[in-house]
Amino acid sequence: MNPSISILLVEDDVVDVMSVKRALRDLNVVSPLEVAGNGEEALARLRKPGCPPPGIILLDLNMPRMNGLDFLKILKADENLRRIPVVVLTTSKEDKDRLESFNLSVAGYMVKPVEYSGFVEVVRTIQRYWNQSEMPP
Amino acid sequence: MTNAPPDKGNSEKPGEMSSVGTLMSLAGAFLPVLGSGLLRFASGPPGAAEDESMEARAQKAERRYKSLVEQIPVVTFIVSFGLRKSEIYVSPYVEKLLGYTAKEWVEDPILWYQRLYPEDRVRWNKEFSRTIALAEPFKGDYRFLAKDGRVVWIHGEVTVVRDDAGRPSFLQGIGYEITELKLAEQVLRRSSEELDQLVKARTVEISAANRSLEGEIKLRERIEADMRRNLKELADVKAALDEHAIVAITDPKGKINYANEKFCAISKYARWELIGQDHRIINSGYHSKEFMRELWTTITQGKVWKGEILNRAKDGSLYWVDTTIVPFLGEDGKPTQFVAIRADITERKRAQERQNDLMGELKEINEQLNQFAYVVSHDLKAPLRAISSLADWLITDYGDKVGEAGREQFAMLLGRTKRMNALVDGILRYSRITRQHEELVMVDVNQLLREVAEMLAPPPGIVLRVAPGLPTLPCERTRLTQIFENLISNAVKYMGKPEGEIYIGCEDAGPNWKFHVRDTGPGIEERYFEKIFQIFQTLAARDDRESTGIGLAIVKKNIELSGGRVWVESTVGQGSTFFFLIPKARAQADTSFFLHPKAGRLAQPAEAPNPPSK
Repeated sequence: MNPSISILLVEDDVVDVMSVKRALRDLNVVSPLEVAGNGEEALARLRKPGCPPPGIILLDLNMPRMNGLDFLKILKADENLRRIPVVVLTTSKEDKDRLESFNLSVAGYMVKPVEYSGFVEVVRTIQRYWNQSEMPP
Repeated sequence: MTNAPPDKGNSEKPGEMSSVGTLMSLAGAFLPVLGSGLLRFASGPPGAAEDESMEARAQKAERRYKSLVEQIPVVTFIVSFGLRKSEIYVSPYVEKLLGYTAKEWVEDPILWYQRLYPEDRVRWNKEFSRTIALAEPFKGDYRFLAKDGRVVWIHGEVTVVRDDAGRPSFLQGIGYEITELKLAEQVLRRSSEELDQLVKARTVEISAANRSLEGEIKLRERIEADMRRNLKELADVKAALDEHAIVAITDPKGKINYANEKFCAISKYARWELIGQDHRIINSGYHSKEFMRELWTTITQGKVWKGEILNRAKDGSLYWVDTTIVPFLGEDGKPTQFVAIRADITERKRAQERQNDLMGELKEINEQLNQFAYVVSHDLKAPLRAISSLADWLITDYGDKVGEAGREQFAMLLGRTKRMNALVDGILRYSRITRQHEELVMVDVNQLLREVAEMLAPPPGIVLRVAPGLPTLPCERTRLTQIFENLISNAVKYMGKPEGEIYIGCEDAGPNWKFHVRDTGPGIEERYFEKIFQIFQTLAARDDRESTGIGLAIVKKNIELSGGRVWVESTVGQGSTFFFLIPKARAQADTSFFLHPKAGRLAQPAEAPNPPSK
């Protein structure tokens, strides 16, 4: 994992943000974590001039203002942003959400476990994936 | 006329004397009695020589009489009963009549009989023997064959002359020709017969004609009676129809020329307002042009059209009619008129609409409920996860500061959050059951159970025994999977001991398949048989995190949504058996109705309750 390439977490729940931060720390991941509270904020950050794109986006689906799926639609329609891998990190096990997410070419779909230990395992899996998978140039 | 019946009663000798000999002997029998009187007349009286002048005078007179007699165109004859030639006299006129001379007749006393027409002989025998027997005068018409072969009709009259003692002495008679008379008679008779025949034939003809006429009249009467009856029946049927239905008859162009009472009543038009109009007068504008075109095309092709039409009455009110239009075809196959029979179905339509609305609302409420369950569960999960994580971090970061009791309490807190999470997951799964809709597919239960067993991977001590030859049935695959999954995992979970057996089988139960899942677990008390199927009802301890009380509720819901039912039979200490029925055949659930509950609604406001506010 390239320590200079950031992770963009799109998440409105503060505790969930804390969970991710803590899990990354527990897993000794040094990549900087950027956080956006919803889809709009995330888009603003991604389109901000002079800001290098994140190496991966961790996306919650249930968010105020612009939810994860709406964000995904815009992201995937954007020629500059569409290749950034997105892993959905959500509470929803709904068929509909899974289907739509994969239709929008997500790289992964993770359900947030209720226990923190489970959460750590999820983040570990994502980290391992991101670490080993080839990324777009 | 020619053959008088023989008078048998008065005849001593019936007239069968057909041979001349018999007759001759009969005649001869009288001879001795006759004496010589005849001769005296025939050839001059045998005289006493002493009175010569008297004799001469007598002979003279005889000659005179003889010549006189011989002048008449009649044959006279005298025959003694002895048939002696000397005692026979035949007048010479006989030669003119029959060609034989008088002498020939005298010489051959039976010549006359030989010349008697053979067919007349029997009759003559009869009549003549009667004359002799009764000594009565004899008259008769007979045919004789003349010497040249002519047939000559002769009328003869013979008298028996008696002696003083009253005994028959000789015969005297006359005969004259009546051939012409007879021929005329014959002609007359023939023409009369012909006339008769003609009359008879005509009579037969006329009576035949009469009979056929009578038959025809009867037939006509019957037809007329039938027609009257048919007409009456028709009138009755029409009356019944008018009583029941809205009836209109139009010409081929659609112009109304008949409207019954009901038509007037429902359309609120007077009859005179309808007659001459076409049905546009009651057009509601509700139906598409294509709809009306299809109707018109159908009936003008001579086919019956059926359907439901929304019409508008004179006062603007709308009414639905179930309509049948029957074209009456002329001989050229083209409609001569259309008969429209309609029934008012406005109420039914309203009820249907109300039902549709209610179903729609029900569906909507159900959706809302599901949505509610989903949203609530989802929204509950986030804070739950937060509590769980925070408790976890607290115990990790500050565990050494809260002491043994504090750590224990944090552990309990974490346990409860996990249980609550399981409950919320249960609600989500349960609410998902009604939301999921799959196509009906043919599912091989043997195959499905293999997959379920593989997925559940029961612990080594638990033996799963599946009966061979389970059916293949139409169902929603996920539902059946969930049913078996939950029943089997329940059996495993509540076995209560490390070793046990689970039996799965199926039997034919008429329209259904009856499945069972039997375990060798602790069994269930009968009072819980109903309760275990209710949501969140579990017989296990509250803090057992695996037991949320959702499994059997999901089983029940899935079975009921598949058109079946589930129940349990159990003996405590011996195990439980869960039975469930699944229909062998099932129509695909039609959900289109629910998706478009407002399709085809009335223009008038329906009296449906307002949907509940959110």
